[in-house]
Amino acid sequence: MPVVFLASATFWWDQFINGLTTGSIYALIALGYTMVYGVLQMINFAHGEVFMLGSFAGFGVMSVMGGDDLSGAMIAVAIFAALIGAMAASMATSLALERFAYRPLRNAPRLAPLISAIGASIFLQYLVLEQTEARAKFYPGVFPTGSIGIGDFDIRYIQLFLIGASLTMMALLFAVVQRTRTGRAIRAVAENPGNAALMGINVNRTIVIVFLLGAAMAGVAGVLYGLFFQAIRGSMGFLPGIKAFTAAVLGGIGSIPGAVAGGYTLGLAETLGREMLNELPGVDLGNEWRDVIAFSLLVLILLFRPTGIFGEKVSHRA
Amino acid sequence: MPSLRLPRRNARSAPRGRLSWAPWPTALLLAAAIAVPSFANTAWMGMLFFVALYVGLGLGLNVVVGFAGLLDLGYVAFFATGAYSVALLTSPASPLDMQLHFWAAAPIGLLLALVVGVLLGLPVLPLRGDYLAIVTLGFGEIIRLFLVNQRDITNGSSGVSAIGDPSFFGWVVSSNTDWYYVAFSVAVIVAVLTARLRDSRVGRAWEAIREDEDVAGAMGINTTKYKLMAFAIGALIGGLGGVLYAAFIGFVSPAAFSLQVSIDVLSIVVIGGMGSTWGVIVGSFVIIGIPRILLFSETADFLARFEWLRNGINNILGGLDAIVPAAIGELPPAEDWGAELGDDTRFVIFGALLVAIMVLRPSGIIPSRRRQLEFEHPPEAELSPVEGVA
Amino acid sequence: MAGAALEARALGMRFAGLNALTDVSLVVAAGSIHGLIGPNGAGKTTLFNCVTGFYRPTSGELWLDDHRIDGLQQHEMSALGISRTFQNIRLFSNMTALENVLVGGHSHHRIAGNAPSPVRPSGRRLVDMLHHLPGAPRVAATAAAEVGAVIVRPPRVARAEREAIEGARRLLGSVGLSGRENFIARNLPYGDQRRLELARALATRPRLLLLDEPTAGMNPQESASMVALIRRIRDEFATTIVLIEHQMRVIMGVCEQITVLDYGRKISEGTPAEVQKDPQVIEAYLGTRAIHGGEQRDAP
Repeated sequence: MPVVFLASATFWWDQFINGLTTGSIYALIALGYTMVYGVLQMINFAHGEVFMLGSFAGFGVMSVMGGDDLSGAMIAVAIFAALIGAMAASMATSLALERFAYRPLRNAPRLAPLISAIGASIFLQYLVLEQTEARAKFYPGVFPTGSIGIGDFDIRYIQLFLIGASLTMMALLFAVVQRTRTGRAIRAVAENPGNAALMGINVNRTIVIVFLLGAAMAGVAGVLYGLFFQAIRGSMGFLPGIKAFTAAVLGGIGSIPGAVAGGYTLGLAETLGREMLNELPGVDLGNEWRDVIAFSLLVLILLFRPTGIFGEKVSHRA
Repeated sequence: MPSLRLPRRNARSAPRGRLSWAPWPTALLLAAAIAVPSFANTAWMGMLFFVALYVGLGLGLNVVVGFAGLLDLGYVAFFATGAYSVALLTSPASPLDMQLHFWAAAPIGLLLALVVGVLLGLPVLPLRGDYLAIVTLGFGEIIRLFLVNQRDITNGSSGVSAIGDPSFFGWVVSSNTDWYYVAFSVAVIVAVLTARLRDSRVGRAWEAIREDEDVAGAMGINTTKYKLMAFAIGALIGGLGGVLYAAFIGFVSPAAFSLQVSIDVLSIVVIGGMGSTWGVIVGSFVIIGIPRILLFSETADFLARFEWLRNGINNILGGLDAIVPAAIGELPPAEDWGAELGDDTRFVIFGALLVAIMVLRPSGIIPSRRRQLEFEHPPEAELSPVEGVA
Repeated sequence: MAGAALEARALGMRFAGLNALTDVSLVVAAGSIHGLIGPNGAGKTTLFNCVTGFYRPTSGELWLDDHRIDGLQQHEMSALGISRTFQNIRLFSNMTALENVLVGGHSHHRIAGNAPSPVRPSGRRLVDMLHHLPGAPRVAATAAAEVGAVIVRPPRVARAEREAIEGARRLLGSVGLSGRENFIARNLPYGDQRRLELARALATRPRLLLLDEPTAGMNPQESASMVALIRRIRDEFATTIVLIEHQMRVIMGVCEQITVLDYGRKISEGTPAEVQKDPQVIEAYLGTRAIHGGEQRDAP
């Protein structure tokens, strides 16, 4: 497409990095969706709120540790503490969701856990919205500014950190799932819970672990989001949640590498896609068109290729 | 002719309707509903208009979710279609500037809603439950984004105002009470018609599809056709609600057609009782009526009497604060309690209610007998016959 | 019109790597009661699934009278008059007995016209004409007509519903469930549930009725009762019946012809007496040594 290069190459490079940045966040959240779906065949509608609560917890930690007054090495300490705090909060939330909103409905007709998840999502969202009076909170802008790179092809430190941290978390998760006994148990339950139980695996405990792992990913994503975008609010989980779900389906729901691939694909598609469309004469799409692209992608994938890019077969009727 | 010998027709048997509409409660409800405007002020009538409107919407979604078992999270799309059709076609302030008569625009709005329902339904129906829910959610949002972004057609976020009041054989529908009667009549008609559908071959087909779709197909039921039927009927009713809403308020904007509407209607159906008409009525009062009542000045006046309670609790909290310092703060003035609860807090409560209902009483406050059986397993040993017949 | 004749010609069904059916040919005479037996895994239910359209055979042909039916969809098979019951009862558990049977009679309800089919002449009403439209317009038009009919409820519609209910009641009576019409299906005792499934299948006015282990889980008395019912049904409704069964007493007692499958192939066919004495059948069920007095293989 010759039109693509009308703008400068550095512009496209910047957009590319932007895509990777948002893609990292989508990927982290998508992992939670895909793993829960793998073991329970249900969509954890409230996972976006797990992400949101992690973000708020991280904010709380950083505020307590000094907020905007942080400097020097304390910044790193605070961020690290925020990550830990966020993971703790997200995991606690996820734990409660599994225990109170999902587990009692394991054998109920399929509408029930769905509605319960929606209810939980609404509950959590508006709880925070209410407590914050729907106003945003702002992460301290203390991450070192500046960038690194070659000439004009640079990448901001924070973006580097974000992408790096995400990849690290994903690598850790992958190691857990592939190399540990727990990981094997997870894969066994995802394959066939009945057989897994017969082989002595504690299915309930494994499911809880799956929720915890996904929540940890989402908690980290929450802090990274906060550090990067700074403004966080109670409703922030909805859109990223849906987009991350789209990413998970894109990569093949139930597949961990798929969720990662889907996340980055969506991030890039969203960012680069809008810019590419804007290259067309007369087209000037604002930011909200990213959302339209994401939603349309979601609808199109579910309609035409629900198995995703790498995915396994998804049954077409429950 | 097939070899199955047809039985001789027995002229004595009459068609048996379902006996879920026991005469006394129904008569009482109708009487109360008709009488209420004589002793309620206009604010209350406005609230009751919305309750009746949402009863209608709830009955529409009931057909989709309750009867056919399809979880539609984007019901607002049909509501918006009906409302915006009327707005754009009749209002002098609309970008389309067609200024049609209300009674010309309303059927167009309904038809459009029906078409949207079929178009949305066709690709989406083969999907399994979770995916159907998310896709309908996505569609709902896409419609809202369309309304916001397509300024040249819809006027974007500014909305369309100056929608006139319709007249019905010379009677101009303008006051809250007038509109209440309209909404109430519509709700009654919708209730009767959906009940007829439920107690017919169509309703049985829906139930069979919900129970075991494969076997239903083997019985010769075209499952796609019947699912689409449910979707389309739901869309039509949603569109009808939108038409009434637009004419009542006189103004539409995308903000009024958000996911919250879909959630409200879903909550009504689920919390009130899936598949149950009475459940929808109760649900609408709980979900729509109570939050609005909480915002009334009468409520504030009433609550102001509990100022002593507020002072007492604040004192206790103050005392606790000395022992265990915590930023609990104090309660707002008693008369404001209604306003506090009526706003965002209601969604906190609804969310928790949705979870609680699903876990504790999935068939809803007033369950339909059927769904109660589906959700709560009665003891197998009990051979209790069920009264009423299809 | 009597029941239909079923013919399979070199029918094959292959799943990835597994030949469930190989070169199976058989003829079921119209109006007869035909048995289908064989050890577990022999392919009996697979054959049923092919005949009802749940599976599409990978080779061979299936004929119902003079209609070729392999590869048709389930609802098309149903429209031709093929009906079945299931090994593990698949009733609509939360609907009443009467409603279950009414659903069975769905296609024959006169509420909104009926699709023309080989087994039923086309009606003359306007609503029947709608069924001659092609594809999507037909679906839309018949749907609209049905909704309209239900909402307006003219006397014709009320009468159609009455007739449907009476017909359903009579069917329930035929299978001995007269007093139970308002019982929720899942609350019925096991034997009654099997009868109900039979009644529902009969409501579809089948020309060919496939019964998958109708006496499974029944004691000898109940089995005998079911056998008598099956015979009565064939006599009264003149439908062709094919039975899968494991209880030899039942099969030998009620079937006129029997086909024996093993590992997806037909190994024997004939009257009960002939099949009982066929050494290949004995070997399949009891193992080679059994003929010479040895130990058993897996019991059937």
